[in-house]
Amino acid sequence: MNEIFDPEELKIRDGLVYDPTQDCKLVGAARALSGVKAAVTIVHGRPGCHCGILLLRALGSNQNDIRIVSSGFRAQDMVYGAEGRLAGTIRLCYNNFKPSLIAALNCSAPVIMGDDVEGVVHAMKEEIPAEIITLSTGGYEGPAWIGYEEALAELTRYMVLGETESGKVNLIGFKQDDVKAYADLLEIERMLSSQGININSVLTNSSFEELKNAPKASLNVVLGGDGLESAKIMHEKFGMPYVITPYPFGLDNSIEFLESVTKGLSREVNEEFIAAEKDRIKERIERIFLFLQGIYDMSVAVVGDGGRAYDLAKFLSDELCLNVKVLAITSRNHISLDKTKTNDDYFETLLIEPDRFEMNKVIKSKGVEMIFGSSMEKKLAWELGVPLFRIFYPVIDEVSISDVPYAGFTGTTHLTERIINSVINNYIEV
Amino acid sequence: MDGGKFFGAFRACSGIKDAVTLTHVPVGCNWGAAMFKSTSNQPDIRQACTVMHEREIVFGGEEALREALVRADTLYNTPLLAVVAGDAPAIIGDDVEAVIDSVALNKEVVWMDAAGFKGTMREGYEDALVHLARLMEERNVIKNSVNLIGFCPDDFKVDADIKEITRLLNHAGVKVNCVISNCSFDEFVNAPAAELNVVMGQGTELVEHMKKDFGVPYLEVGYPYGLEGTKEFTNTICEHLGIGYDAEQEFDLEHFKRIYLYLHELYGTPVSVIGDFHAEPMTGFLDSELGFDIEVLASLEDDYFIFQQNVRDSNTTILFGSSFERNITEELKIPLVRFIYPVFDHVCVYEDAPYAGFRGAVYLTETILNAVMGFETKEIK
Amino acid sequence: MMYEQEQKLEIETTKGNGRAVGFLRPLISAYSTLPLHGMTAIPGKISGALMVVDSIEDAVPLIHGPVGCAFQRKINPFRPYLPFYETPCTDMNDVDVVYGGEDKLSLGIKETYEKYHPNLIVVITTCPSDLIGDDFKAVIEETKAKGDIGCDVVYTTGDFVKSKPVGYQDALYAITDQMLCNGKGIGMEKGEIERNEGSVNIITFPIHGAGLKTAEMASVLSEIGIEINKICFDHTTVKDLYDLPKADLTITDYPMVWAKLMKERFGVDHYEILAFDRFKETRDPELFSPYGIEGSARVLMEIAQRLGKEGEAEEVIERRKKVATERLSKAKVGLDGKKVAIMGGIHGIGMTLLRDVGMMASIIIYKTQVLESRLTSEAINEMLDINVKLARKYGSDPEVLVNPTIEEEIKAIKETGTDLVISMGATAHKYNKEGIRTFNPMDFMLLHQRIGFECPIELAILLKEALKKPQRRNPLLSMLKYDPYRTNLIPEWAALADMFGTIRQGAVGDKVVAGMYGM
Repeated sequence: MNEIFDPEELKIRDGLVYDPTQDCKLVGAARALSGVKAAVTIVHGRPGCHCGILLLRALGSNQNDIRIVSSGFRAQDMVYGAEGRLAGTIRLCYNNFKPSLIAALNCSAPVIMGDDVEGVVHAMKEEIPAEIITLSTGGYEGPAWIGYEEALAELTRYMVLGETESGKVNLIGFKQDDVKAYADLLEIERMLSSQGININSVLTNSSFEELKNAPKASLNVVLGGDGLESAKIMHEKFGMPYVITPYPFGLDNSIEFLESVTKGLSREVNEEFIAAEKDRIKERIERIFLFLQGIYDMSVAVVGDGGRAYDLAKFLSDELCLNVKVLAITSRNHISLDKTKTNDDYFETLLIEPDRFEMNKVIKSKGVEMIFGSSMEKKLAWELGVPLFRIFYPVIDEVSISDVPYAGFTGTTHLTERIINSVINNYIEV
Repeated sequence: MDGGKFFGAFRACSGIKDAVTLTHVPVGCNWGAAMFKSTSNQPDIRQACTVMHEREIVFGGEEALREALVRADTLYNTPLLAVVAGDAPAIIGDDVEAVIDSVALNKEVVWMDAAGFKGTMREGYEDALVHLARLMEERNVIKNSVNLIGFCPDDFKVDADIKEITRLLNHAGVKVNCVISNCSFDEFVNAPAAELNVVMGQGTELVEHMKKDFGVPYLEVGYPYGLEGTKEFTNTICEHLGIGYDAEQEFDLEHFKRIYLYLHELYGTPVSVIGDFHAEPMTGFLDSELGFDIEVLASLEDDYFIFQQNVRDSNTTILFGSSFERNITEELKIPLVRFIYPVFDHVCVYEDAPYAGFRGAVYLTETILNAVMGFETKEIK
Repeated sequence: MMYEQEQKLEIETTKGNGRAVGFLRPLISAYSTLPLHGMTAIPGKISGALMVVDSIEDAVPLIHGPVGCAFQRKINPFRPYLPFYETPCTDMNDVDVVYGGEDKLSLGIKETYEKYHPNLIVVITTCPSDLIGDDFKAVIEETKAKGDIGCDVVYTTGDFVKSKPVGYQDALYAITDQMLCNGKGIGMEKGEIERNEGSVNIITFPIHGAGLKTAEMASVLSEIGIEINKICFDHTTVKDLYDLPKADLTITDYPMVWAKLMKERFGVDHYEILAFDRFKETRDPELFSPYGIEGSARVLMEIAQRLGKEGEAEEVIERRKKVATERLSKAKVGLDGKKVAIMGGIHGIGMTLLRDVGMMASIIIYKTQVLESRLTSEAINEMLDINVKLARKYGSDPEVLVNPTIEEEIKAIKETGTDLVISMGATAHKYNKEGIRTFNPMDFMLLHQRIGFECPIELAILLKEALKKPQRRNPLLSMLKYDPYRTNLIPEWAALADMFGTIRQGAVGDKVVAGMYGM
């Protein structure tokens, strides 16, 4: 694919009815807050909202770390209000969990009714030793990624300026419930460590204290563009520089990731390390080079969030030489639309937050032979008779508990192995 | 489904990483051995063949063998040429030893009669190692060191498993001297330097020989699957070496806690297992630690038709075996977890995702859970 | 328990014990111990409504609300392994919340019809659309009147019924009320429907563990001379739903509001397998034990009586019972007198089934923590009494343990010489670690438990297999720390359950607890 990407191939949703590929603000905010260790999230809304968030977490690989409660909002509260209920829940939360942070997320029903959630929180501050924050996350207020950005931005209010430590960075845009999240984080840590760089805090996979001390780092690393808003706030407030890096899928993205970070810290990248990693990848790839040749030019679809999907598509196209027929961004971030204006040609058709029905139609028309997506693409994959590679949120039918990453240099080998196996494992009758 | 003596011998010889295996067979046997070996190690083709044809069958293959030996000696820069004679030369009576003696070669040559019909794959492996053992040399013993015996270079997850086992033993203060058969020629020659031979399922004849010739004691242990299996493995070795170490201190349950709800109801899942010496230790992990119910347990030497019947008649919902079991799993619409040789529809090049050891317990559990959850079953309506 | 039995499986009983479903059991089981429903969360009405729509092949939902309601609800809390892949919504935003969403709803209905070409659109309302007061009924009527929509359209708000599960019951009620009663048959009188005299509908969409397996039941009823009008929901279409009023009787697993409506409007009587309403009058505990030989005989006879076929039924039932009893007498060899510990409650394997296979209940273990926040203590005690009474009636004299620790359970099990504990996978490992065998009832309840004379035979076979399993294991799960009483929960989840139980108190239908909140 050498042609410059044709804007005509960019499809944004048309039509009114929308079968969504992403959730609402509530989920985005909850995902951000779940990564604040020992924080508790109160879903101030109807039971369905609470159950949905709980299910999304419980069906993943964090079953021993669910800090999501409901305020117990019920039908009669739609008439009389539920401020008292919320207050009681905050109290109970503190007594049961002793969290450092309580986040009350206000859902559609109480927002419409006009529950003064901020007033409740304000009134509780004297009584409750923990920090309490509130966010308006009514479903109609916006999509998940906005909720995520706003939650991170809200957390910056608690950050305090401290003495800057050189060689330390904050990672922004990490989500605990992404596929292979912990394993990827370990690999990213290893990569940074090879450059003499340590992680100060992760937004979000850190304690509240660690987050408060985020300004101690010398640089903010914004993974794939997720959490950019908080990086900008920290830049404004604390003078902290930031770099936007690709999510390090594949060799090139991993190198670019390291180069961006080291450049951001005004350092030279450790080329020896990169050379050694390249050699390792080469040695491993060589072992299955025949299969790699075999899947060359295979047509695929990539359906995922903006922070990761672009970078995966680039790896698949540039390094594994697969044809990315459709790249569907299910959930944007602040830089997603900018990426459409580049000369990148690693995908044929781009869909931004498409209606699922329309997206499925497009994918079916393109003759794809494999789908990289989430559990929500399972039916489409089954209809097409193609393998589904689960790599984007939400994945509710695959667990990841081992330290085997998809990101980074090590992840390149593992990803390649898994992709090949997804193809050769299939049983076909002819 | 057993591969026969030829496969066993071939696998043992090809495990000497810088040796070349010369197969004295028709092309089919050579091709088959190469294909099974190369799934996850495609550039590593260190084998040659005498390409026996009809003419050799009628008039004898000794001339072809002689020519092949000379050519291989010239072409390959290798310390060892392992000649594996298969079915055809055994039947027609080629005098392989005489042919080898008649040529002057620049490398060590070891040969073995490995006609497939003469024994099982295991017997071929054992026999080949005993033949190769004559290359070993007396060495000073390295304290607290072991040889790990029983591996083949094309075992599923062999590199990852060896890496993990080595890590575990190093952590306990035990050095791994040599891994047989997945080592260099020099490492193999120096095998007698180990304080202890650890046999994991096969290679017992070799260790008997090494005990007799070099005084190296040996220990037979199960393949280290699961937390308990690994603990047993490590502690037994340490005890024999007089090292006071308890592997249980390495138990880390954090990974399992993260999916404990899924572990709950998969408890009692009926499964079946077929395999070589890996099968019993795997069964121990599945049964004892994951709480699965073992419906059918079969070895490669059992009648495969009967095994398939037994599985069909059972309540098996997951099958553990090799790529050969894909047929029956497709018929029964159940997932297959591949863990034994041969695996030719699944690559493993990532060396930090073992099935053995403590890390392997995590990865194996994850793999099993995902085999269930991600199974591409028809939509239920 | 979160996971509810799925009765729409096509069980091909070829070889083995219904194992032809292949691999489904572990897939379903993998999700079944999520401690959600009623313990730490409740899914909400949209999930129940989607479950109904998903079970009708040519129906499509239209969620009138924001994207979150549509996306989150893709996860099916009843079957997490099978999400609701299609959940189109009207994508309400803040402008709609202020100015109303009726126009969007109207356009959305039209667009949904044009896109998906369904025979039924079920509009499912959400918090925003409910709160802002959109007039769903009027919008649907006006939209249909324009003539662009070639299918039925109904709406469900959760307000039509008070019964639980709300979403599910409400959606079915809406379909009955708005479509069956007012669709093609607007103002249609009972007499105008072409009746299928002497026939029954069997509704196979159970929740809460009271599963119906239809094949044997249908066979017996047919032999009695009772025709099967429809079996829902089994590849059910909208046309099938329109045929429901033709029958004389609808058989459901437990009371359904929509079935009562069918009686009011069409004269189609209704019969519940689990007879909650009749229990209120008679207090007969056997009304909660319909499975097993005598239970099935009673249920089938009662159905026959409703249709005036008791004479025919007597002969058929007796004959089938005799055959089954003979086979059971062979199948249960080795089980007679064996002692079993069971979990109390009205779900699970009932006392009648245990009686049929000849086993004695040695211990009843009753865990009430989850129930205490939702039922009165009288109701809890009554449930326990049902189990104890039945056990004693059938010749057992079980020890009763209420909220024991696991240590207390194991002590009692060993002291009584109990051979087997009926325990879900979430807790089986605790017993196995102590050398006590277990039997997971989930498999049986999912695939075998039904009205019919064969299921005790299948139970006997499964129980005998359970008695052959390894007595002792060293499970990984046993290394984890669990709550001492709620032995399927690790402390993190127990804390969530405590919070939810406290917060949930006083909800409609739950036990009222005064004075919880104050500022």
